[in-house]
Amino acid sequence: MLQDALSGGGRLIIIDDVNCCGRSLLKCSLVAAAHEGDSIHILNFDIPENELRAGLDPEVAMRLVFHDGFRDPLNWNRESVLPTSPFTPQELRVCIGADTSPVTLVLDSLSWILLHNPVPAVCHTFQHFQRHAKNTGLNVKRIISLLHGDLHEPAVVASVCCLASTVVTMMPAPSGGAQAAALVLQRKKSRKIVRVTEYFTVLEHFVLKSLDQHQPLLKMAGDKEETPAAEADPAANLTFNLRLSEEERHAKERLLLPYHLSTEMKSSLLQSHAGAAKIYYEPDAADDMDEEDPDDDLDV
Amino acid sequence: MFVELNHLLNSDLENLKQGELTLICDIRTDGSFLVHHFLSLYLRAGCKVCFLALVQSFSHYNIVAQKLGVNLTTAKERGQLVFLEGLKTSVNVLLGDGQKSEQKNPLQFLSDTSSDLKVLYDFVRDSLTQPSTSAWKCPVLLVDDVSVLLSLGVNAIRLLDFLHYCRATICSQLEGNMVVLTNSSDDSEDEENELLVNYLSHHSNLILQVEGLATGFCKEVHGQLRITWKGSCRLKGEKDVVKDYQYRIHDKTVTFFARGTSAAVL
Repeated sequence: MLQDALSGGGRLIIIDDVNCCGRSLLKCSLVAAAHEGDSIHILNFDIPENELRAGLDPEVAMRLVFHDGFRDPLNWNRESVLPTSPFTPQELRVCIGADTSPVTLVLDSLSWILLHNPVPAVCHTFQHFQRHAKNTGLNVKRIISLLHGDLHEPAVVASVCCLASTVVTMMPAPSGGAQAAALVLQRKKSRKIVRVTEYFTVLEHFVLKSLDQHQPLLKMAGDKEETPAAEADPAANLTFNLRLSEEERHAKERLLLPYHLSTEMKSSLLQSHAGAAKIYYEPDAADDMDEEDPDDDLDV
Repeated sequence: MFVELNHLLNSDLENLKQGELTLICDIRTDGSFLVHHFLSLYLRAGCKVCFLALVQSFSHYNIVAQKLGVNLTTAKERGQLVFLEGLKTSVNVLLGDGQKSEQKNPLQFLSDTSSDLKVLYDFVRDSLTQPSTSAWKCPVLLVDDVSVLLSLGVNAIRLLDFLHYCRATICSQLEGNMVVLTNSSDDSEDEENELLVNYLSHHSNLILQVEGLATGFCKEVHGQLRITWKGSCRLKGEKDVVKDYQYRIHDKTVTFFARGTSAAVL
């Protein structure tokens, strides 16, 4: 599923955060795109070209075309390659130039662009660029972007994600073999939405190895039947029993508790047996005798 | 320089790692002992150091460095250390006195909130770009502490631009190192500072998170250090490696031990 999502067309966003870096998954998607014979145009803002090239197959690395936005994005050193100000379809188109083979556009990362351009402008470009490119004779098959989710407000992330056909959210995997978990949300052309959580690990040369996946049941909006089931039962996994069966109840009722004195028990306690020891007591002259019965208050 | 910390971080004077960004993040405690460690480490290793000291005065850093066996005054005279004393320079900017025309003040952006931090970047770049004849090893930029700039009213995005340029020039182009200290707290409700910490965490190779004990002050244990080596994605995907230690600061050294194994407990 994750493999399909990475190699599918359209707009793909990989969302990561501080605890779980998504760049290795981005590199996996580069490999997948290269195997399909696309030429890959990369706008790298976050890391230098050599770091992004590192570890890739020479065959894949050959297909990469870099548009450097890392070294001098704001033209402070007067060596800028990319235009600094607004991120528009026209500028992006000029940047890529002419290319006959299908193009995969990679934005590493979209966070840089979002922090330096107004959000509506970025959303507009993101949505319309493919069509704009097609009108000017360029086949942009897919746009892959990496987004650091914790650098933006949730609303900004949500609005950009609305425009993507596939959103992959990275999550740290529980300890074990998997490197990370990815929550894949795919909007198909039939308007069907597929949601899958998949555990994966990345092998050498950025080959993706999927380990385990499970498809959570889709919760329909306004579906009330599911709500009680979703609520956790507090009495589910108790180590003791809260209810009694009929048999258990009888056994419980038959039980004689030690502080209940039945008549037989009382008499057996009070009766003196033959041969039992007796106490004879002769009061001393100086003894302080109490006439009162000391056991007077006992109800026996 | 604390030898024990060098062992924990697998670094030593002879072969320093290059091209790395180290983030020191202190939470409810003072992490400046790590700044002193890195300052003395890089000076001893013979690196060219640019130190943006925004928190304390030169004499403060000098006294601590002398305790750790490094003399900052001599390092400055030899041209190994470029020291920007934020406390003095910022006052000069804000009070508006001094010679305006001769030299640009590296903290000039403080008086004009709409300007970017290019002046400061130029200052850093010029002080770390060395002629090929110089004998110093890789360049190093130290910042103590970068959150102060936010408190002085610098726009967060502009600050990130400055850090980006430092990263591109020092870590990538010159193959040097950067050590940046920031303040952080989970419940500060300071979005700009959170953005800064998250940005730096994304791009750093090593994160040293210093945290006070949740149970409060203790005589034997001064705090907790979490070391995170970020998994690199150079060859294949790697997981982050995280290790936790507790520490106690002595007069001239710091001892590190596994959690719950301080001398007071055992």
